[in-house]
Amino acid sequence: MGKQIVSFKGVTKGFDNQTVVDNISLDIYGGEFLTLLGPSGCGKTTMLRMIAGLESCDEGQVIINGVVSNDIPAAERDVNTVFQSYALFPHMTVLQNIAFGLSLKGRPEAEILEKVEEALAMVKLAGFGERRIQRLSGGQQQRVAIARAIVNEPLILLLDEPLSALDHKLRKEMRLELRQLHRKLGITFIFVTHDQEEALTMSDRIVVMNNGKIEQTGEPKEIYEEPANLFVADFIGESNFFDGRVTGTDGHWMDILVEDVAMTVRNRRGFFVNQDIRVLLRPEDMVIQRASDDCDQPHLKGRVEELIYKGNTVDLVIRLNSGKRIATTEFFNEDAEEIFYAQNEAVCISWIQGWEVVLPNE
Amino acid sequence: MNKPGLSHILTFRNTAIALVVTWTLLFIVVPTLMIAVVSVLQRDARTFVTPAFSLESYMALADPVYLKIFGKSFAYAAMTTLLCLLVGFPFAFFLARTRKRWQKPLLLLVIIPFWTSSLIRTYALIIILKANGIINTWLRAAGIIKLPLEILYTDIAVYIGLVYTLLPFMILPLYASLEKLDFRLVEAAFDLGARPVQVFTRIILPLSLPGIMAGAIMVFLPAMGLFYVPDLLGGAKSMLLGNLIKNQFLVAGNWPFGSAVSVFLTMLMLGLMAIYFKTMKRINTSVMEEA
Ligand SMILES: Nc1ncnc2c1ncn2[C@@H]1O[C@H](COP(=O)(O)OP(=O)(O)OP(=O)(O)O)[C@@H](O)[C@H]1O
Ligand SMILES: [Mg+2]
Repeated sequence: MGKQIVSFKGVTKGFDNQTVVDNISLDIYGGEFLTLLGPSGCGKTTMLRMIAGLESCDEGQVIINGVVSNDIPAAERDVNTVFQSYALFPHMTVLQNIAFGLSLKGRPEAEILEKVEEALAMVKLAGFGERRIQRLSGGQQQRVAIARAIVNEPLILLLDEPLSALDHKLRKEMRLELRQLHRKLGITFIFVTHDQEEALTMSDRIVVMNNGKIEQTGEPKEIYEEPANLFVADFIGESNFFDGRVTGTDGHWMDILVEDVAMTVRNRRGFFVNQDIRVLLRPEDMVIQRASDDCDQPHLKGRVEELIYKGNTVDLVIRLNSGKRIATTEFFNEDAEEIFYAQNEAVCISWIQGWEVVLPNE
Repeated sequence: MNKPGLSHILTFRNTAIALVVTWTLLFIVVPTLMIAVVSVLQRDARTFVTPAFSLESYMALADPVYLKIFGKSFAYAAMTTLLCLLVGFPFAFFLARTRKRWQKPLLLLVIIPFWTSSLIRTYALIIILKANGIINTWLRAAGIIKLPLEILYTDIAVYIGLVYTLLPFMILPLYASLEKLDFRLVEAAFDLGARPVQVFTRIILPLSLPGIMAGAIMVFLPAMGLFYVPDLLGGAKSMLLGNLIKNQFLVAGNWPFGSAVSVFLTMLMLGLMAIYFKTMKRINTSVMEEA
C-alpha cells in the first residue's frame, strides 16, 4: 500500500440542520481501488464531492496528497470525477468533451489530440471523436465520461455510481474494464456504489457507510466474513441471524445457547455471561444433512420448505423447529444427488466450526 | 365514447380558433396589408395618398439622410440590446439559481411594470432624471455633486428609457433558458479545471445562446420603434426609426414614405425571426435533444 493520498480528519458536513457526514476520519492510500458502500442517502456522494472540492466541509480537514485542501477550489485539485449523470457537455462532440480539461490548461493542439486518441482507445471508443454526445448509447456516454476524466492524468479518479444507469450485462463487463483500467493507470480510484456485489468484486478496500458514519473499513473478504456489526452483516450479502445468549466463558471460549441448542464457540470480542448475542451465518456456510443419528453435533433441526435449483448451486429454504426460516446454499460436487431433498424432509443444520460470526445483540 | 363531451370540446376549440384568426386578421394582417399598399402609392398633399402606383418611397429610403437615421437607429437598438443583456444576464442567472420558492415572487417583480403603460413610466423617468429631479436632489443633498447632472435630454436618458422599458423582454427568455441549464455541467467544468470565466464562456454562454438570441430579438426590434422614448427623454438629435415613421405620418404628412419605412422594419423583423428559428432548429437537433 502506498502513502496516504486522501485523509479525512474529523470531517463533518450538514445540509439544513441535517448532519450528512458525521465526524468521519478515513485514510485512503495511493493507488488503491477504494469503494464507499452504503444505502441511499448515507453521504457517499457528499464524501466524493468534498474530495473533488465541489462541497465544503463544516468541520475537520480534507487532506489531499499531504496538503490541507479545504480551501483549494475544485479547479485546482488534481482530482477528476466521473459523475453519476455523466454530465457530458451537450454542445460539444466526444472529442471536444474529452479535450476540455487539456485545452483549459492551454496544451498544444497536437498533444491534446494525441492524448484524446489515447484515452478514446483506452475506453474502447477509438474513432468516435466526431460523434455528438446525443448520438451515443448510455454505455458509450459512460465511457466518454471516464475518458474525459482520465485524460487529465489526475492523481485521484472519483467515480460516483458510474455503472448504475447501465443494464445488467453491460454493468458486469464494465466492472472488469474498470478494474483493468485501474491497473493500467496505477492511480487511486475512489468508487461509490450502493451495490454490494459491485463493491465486493471490484475493490481493494471497502468503506461501509451508514447515516454519515463509517461502519467498517476493510478488504472485501474481511467485510464479508467478519462484519464488524449487525448493519454491515445485514447490508453485505445474505445472512441468517440467530438470537442467542452467552451461558459461560473463560475469556477465549464461550458456551452459548442458540435456538435452545448449546454449543461452544470462540469468544473474540470479550463477551460476558448472560450477554445477548446474535450469531450470523452465510447461506453457503451452512451444512445440511438428512436427519439421522449420525448428524454432526451440535446441530439445529428443521424441515425443507423449498428447494431452488440454480444450476451450480441448490438453495434451500428451511423452517427450523422453532418456526424460524433460514436460507442455505449448497454447491454441487460429485455426489450431487445427495442434495436433492424432498419437500418437508427433516434435516440437521450445522456449520463448520469457526465460520460463525458472533455479534452483540444491540 | 363520450360523444357530447368531445363535440363540446371541438365546438370550443373551433370557436377559439375562429376568434384568434378573426382577431389576427382584423388587427394584424389587415393593417399590415394597408400599410404595404400605401407604401407603393403616391403622396398627395391634400388627401395624403392618391391611388397611383409608385416606388418612389422605397427609392427615398436610400437617401443618405435616411440612411444616416437608419444607422443611428440601429446603433441605438444595438447598444440598448447590449445594455439589456449586460444588466439582464446576471439577474436572470441569479433568478434561475435561487430557491424555487423565491423564483415566482422575483419573476413577478419583473412583470409588475407591465401593469402600467410604458408611456406613463417614461414620464415618470422625466421626474427622476430632470435637473431638479429625484436623482439630482439626492446627489446634491448627499453632497456628492454641487451642480445638477445633465441627464435628461441626452443620449444617456434615451438609453435609460429604452433599457428600462425593454429589460423584461430580455430577462424573461434568458431566465427560461438559464433555468433549464443543468448546473451539474458547471460543476463538471470546475472539476476539469475551468476557472469561473472559462466556465462562463465555454459552458454557460453557449448553452444559454437560444435565450440570448430570443432576448436580443425581443429587445432589438422594439428598440427601433419606441418613438416616444427619444421624443420625451432625448435631445433634438436622438431619432429612431419609430420617430421617423411617426414624423412622416403626423408631421410631414408623407404617408407612403412612412409606410415604406414601416414595411422595411417589418421585413427586418421577419429576417431576424427567420435567422432565429433556423439557428434554434440547428441547436435543437444537435444540442438540446437529449439521448
Ligand atoms: N445540496 C444539498 N442540499 C441539501 N441536502 C443535500 C444536498 N446534497 C445532499 N443532501 C442530503 O444529504 C444526504 C446525503 O446525500 P448524498 O448525496 O451524499 O447521499 P448518497 O449516499 O450519495 O446517496 P445515493 O446512493 O442515493 O446517491 C441526503 O439526505 C441528501 O438529501
Ligand atoms: Mg449519491
